[in-house]
Amino acid sequence: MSALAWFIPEYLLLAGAFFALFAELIVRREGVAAAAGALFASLAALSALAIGVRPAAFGGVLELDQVSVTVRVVLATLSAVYLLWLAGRGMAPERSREAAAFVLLATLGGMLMVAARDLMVLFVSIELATMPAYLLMGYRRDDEHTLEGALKYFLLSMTTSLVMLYGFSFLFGIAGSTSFAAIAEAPGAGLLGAFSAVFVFVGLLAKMSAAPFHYWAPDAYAGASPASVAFVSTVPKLAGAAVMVRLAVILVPGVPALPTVFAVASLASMLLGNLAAFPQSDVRRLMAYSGVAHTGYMLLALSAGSAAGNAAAIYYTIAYAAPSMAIMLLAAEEGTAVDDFAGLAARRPAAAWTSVVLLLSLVGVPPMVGMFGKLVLFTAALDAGRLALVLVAVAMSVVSAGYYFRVLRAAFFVGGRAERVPRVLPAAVAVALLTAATLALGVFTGPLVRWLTAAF
Amino acid sequence: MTLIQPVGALSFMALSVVLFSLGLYGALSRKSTVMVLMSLELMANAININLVALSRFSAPAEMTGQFFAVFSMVVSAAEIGLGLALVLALYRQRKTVEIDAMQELKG
Amino acid sequence: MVESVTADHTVLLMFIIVGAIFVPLTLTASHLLAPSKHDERKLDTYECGSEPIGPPWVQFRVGYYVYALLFVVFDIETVFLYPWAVAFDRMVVFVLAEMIVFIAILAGGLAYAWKEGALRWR
Repeated sequence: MSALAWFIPEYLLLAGAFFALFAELIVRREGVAAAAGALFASLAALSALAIGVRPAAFGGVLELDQVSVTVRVVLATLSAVYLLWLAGRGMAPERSREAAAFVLLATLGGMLMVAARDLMVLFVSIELATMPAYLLMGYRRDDEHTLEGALKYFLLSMTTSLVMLYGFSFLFGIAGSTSFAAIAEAPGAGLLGAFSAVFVFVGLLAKMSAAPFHYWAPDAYAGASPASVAFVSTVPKLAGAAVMVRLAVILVPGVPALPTVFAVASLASMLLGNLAAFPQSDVRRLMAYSGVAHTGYMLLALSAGSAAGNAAAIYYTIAYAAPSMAIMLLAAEEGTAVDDFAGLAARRPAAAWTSVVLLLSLVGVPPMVGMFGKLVLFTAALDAGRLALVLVAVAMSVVSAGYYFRVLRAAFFVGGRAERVPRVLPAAVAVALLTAATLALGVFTGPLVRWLTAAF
Repeated sequence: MTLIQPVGALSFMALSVVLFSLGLYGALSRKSTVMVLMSLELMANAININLVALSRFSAPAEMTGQFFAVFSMVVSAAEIGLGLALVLALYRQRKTVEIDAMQELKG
Repeated sequence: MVESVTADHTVLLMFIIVGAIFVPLTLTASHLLAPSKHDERKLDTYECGSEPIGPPWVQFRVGYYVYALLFVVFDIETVFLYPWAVAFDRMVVFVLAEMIVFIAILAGGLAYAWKEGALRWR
């Protein structure tokens, strides 16, 4: 099979994006674009799974190792599920066909990000993944708050992209080549190497909304429609985590101080994210800060600097993405204030119990996937001797239960409105799929982490 | 006195650092979003200088850096186009492009 | 690794000197030599010969902006088309196909803008 055929998932996503834009010319119904997109994305996920691990292609700029394959499949699956939800509910009050196209293009960017083995390809695919993201964040064109949040997100995102690109330009200068292999083999570049690594990781940490570069996230999320947040806070983040791990593997041998940087950012993110999430009354803000905290846990695994730690970082981000997306989708259905969840148990018992599963997974309670994610993560960090940080992480997980339970308390013990949103089958299936993944994915922890570890 | 002097990689990097710092300062300090976008463009150009210069000094045969600069230019053109579209949409709502007017959402 | 780019700064210095002298010299010369008779029409703002209406600081129609954005699409296309065209004689079929795919993607975007009515003047 020629190398061209290994990227069939990407072609499918591109074709799907264009098909979604023009689908309504064929079938005149709102939602057909998203449904078609979901079909294309699930085909992409299946073909990515079938293609599996492949050696470097196209002059070594793209390669499909275990990490690429796993993240590719997960990204395509998540966006398929998301588009299924979108096909049912739409992007009220705007039309959803552009949103479907943006989702597919962002997923395409994410998939290329994890396959990239060259700075140029990496940069272009990162931009491909983020540009649709801020269009999604500013999707409600006539809402001031949405636009303001999107503009803040855009300005920060572009600044961080440029900071990262500046780092890339120095990495290229040191190695004389943009390929990762050449950069990894370049002689220890001393101060200039450290300088460029700092630029690259400041850019990436800001994109991943790690403290102290997190401040854009709550504003951008609180302005956007919750349905957009559900996608933007999960899919590009997963691709970003994979890229961060990949670059850390290349750059840590030349810049031994990097794991310490990750540890400090991890500590700051865990503390700040969890404590700042407490007083929030808006689910989007709450999830934005909880996202900061989860990036902190991910960085804890990365700071271990071992193969197990790298695998744990990716596995944890996957384990975080599914429940987090499902919670935001529920918020998109029910309302964005924590108080909007009041009375959920009375009017939609299934949704209420779903949110119990999802939030407990985010806290890290067994048998949900979040617990397994934290387990592999803490093990890797302990093996690297980061006992103090692990203790902080455990304490902060307990603290996080406090604000997640506020949502559950509203859902079960506070009376609220009685009328329920109309039942929509595709949306219900989408949330159910994410919840099932949250419940069942833990079973595959061992094999999946071993498979991921093989890549490092 | 000879005026024929070699210009090293360091000179180009110094120029690029100065431009990048000016751009970053502008991006963080200007009040008008349009000026912020222009500062971001200055940063992008600093990077392009760096890429082209480093390409000349560390890998002159392959011209990788020049290709990288072309991609970087195209991407930043697309980004700026998108950013201006956002600024314009916000201007239609609010009739101002000043950043200080953006106090609706706070950390 | 090339150590440095040799640059002859003598030429640069001469340019600076000539530039510094040339501008004041020509301005003074034209001031001294040219006849100067002013009337109201001559002192008015020059706008292609027609009489200016209103102040120059006006808001442009938003419609222009959409066209400017669409222009960027083709602008970007050209950035890649030029180097591609220069190397056209040493090219394999694969590269030709790549460029066709690239243009097709951009054309798809333009077709969508057309379908959405962005090309209609409002």
